[in-house]
Amino acid sequence: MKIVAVFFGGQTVEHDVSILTGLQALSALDAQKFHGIPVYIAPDGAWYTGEALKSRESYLLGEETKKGLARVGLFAGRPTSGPALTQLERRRLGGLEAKEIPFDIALPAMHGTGGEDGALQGLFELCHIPYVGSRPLGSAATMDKAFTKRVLMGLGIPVVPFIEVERPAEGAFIEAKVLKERLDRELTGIPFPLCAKPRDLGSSVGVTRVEDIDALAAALVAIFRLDGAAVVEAFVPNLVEYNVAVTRALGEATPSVIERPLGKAAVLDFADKYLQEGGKASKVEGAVSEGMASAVRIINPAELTEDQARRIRDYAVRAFSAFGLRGSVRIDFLCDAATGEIWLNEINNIPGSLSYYLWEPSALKLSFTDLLTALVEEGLRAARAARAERSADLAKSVIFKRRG
Amino acid sequence: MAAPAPSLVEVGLDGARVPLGVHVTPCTEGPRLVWLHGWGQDHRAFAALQSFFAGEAEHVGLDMPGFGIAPPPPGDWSTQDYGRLLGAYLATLAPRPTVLVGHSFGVRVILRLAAAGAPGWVARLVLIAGAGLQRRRSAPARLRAAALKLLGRAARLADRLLGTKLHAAYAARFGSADYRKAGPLRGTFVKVVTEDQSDTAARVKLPTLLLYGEKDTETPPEFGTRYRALIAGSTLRVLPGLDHYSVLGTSAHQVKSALRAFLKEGGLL
Repeated sequence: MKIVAVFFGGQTVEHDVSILTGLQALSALDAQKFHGIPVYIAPDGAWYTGEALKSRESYLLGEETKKGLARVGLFAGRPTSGPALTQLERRRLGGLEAKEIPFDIALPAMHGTGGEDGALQGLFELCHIPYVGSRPLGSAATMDKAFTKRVLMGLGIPVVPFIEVERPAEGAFIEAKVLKERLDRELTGIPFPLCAKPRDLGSSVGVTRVEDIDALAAALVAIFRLDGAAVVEAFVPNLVEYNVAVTRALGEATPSVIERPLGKAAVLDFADKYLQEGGKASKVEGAVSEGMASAVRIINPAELTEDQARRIRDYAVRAFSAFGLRGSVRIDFLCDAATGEIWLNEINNIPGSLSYYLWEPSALKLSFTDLLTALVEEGLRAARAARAERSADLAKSVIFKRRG
Repeated sequence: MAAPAPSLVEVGLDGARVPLGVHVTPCTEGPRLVWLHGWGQDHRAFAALQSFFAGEAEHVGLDMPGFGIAPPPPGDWSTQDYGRLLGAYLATLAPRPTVLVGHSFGVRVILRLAAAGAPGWVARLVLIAGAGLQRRRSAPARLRAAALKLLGRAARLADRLLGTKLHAAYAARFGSADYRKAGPLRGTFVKVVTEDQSDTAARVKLPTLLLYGEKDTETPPEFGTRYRALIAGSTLRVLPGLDHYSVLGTSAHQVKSALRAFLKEGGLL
């Protein structure tokens, strides 16, 4: 029985969505093979573990609930004797006592800043902790929409023309005149409306359609509250979105079925993705929303031609491989329904609900439970492969005598 | 998966025609899965599980008499009656490797049929949160139940002799939600919940998968342990985090996985 530490929450705008993904993963883990332990990162940055974290009713944590939980962390300075959470407890007579809570592998069910952008993965690497999903490089690269687009352009995968706008050193307002000059120079011939979005955030947080230069300046102010930079790109007319997941946990990099998410507005925004319940919006708090899993969608939409579907799958698999990704990754596309043109929009290396709903109807017929088993095994395999690389003996780089 | 066309099928039983709600999603591939719902529910309770096997099996969702589109049975039926109706209906179908999947009350019905003898092409049983056993209660709980039963009888007697309406008040105060909502099925409900199917289960000879939610308070996992001991060749899986109803919900990922593995193991997928 392997112990899987499921990480969720985090200091990010996607904190609440991550709770949904974390709880889904905990309940879907195959109880015959794994024991899941929750590791919850609260909005204030404190890490907790404990059984109460498995219940939806516990969120967000009240003081009473916190009393029954253990405060934990990962200690990078501890010798490598197997993965463990370090639990710090205040001794009655003063001082701190450290206990260890061992586990076998970490499963980050984190979205956005700190959890999906390679930071947490870097900590896992440093602590020699096997983990599910992409390595720091792929995680960080795909979190940055502008960087992602530049790599994709190098691969010949179509992306919507864009510019990257950084937050000014002072304040958040960029004058319309300055913006216009950049647009004229770098997005030549591309008329309004445009689409402005935070560079590093997922879940469609802060994605705004802007009709003119003043609206763009205002949208950027709002975006700079969330992110240090924005991507401003052409707004695709007759917009239809298509998503596909890719994994290589079962061998070759394999695409899932393609979905067309059904958003109400022109842009699938946060409310559409996460707050939809029975056709009308409901609050995440207390509602039984299942995040991306409960959004409304059409699987393998009939309007996609075989050629379009093949291109979507091909671009997705090539992008997945180029960024060296692992886990279940969702890759989102934009399509102009009138011309049939397709652009790769973004790569979510830890998508909401880990996109299990795209694997259930796929040719693999993977339940979320079996998907998680495959992902955990992929993570364990990767850790075994990585372990070999660290031995100085093997690398013939021994200078000092190893004592003891 | 497209919604199946609903229809009421009249099934011959003891010389009468009993309407049964039948919802078929045809499929030429794979086995036939027949779904038997729990008390107060109908075939729709299995929507999430069925869709996971879309295009791989023919689905036959039933609405048993008194539930869904099916009118109440012609009397206070017992689970034996429901079991015989299921048998009579299956006898009208073409032979095809078939798995009976039941939830809660549906399990009681499947056990009756399986003990009496199902058609030879019924290959396996999947019993989810199966009811049919009496709870092992603590001594104080048993005492309370006995006292309440006596009180109910006294109320009924008073109603009959004195024309009072005490039993209705008793039912409102002490009856379970299912009892209060049973309507024309109240007689059936009382028969159903007071039975014990230990003997029935011991006669079941088919490969059987028992699935119970760890947090189920209506049919606790302890029922699974007892059925596991009673049914030869059965396997029990207790699923963490799930309760009596969430074992069928969209979050029932472990149920989907166990069901698929069980069908594959039987060479049915």
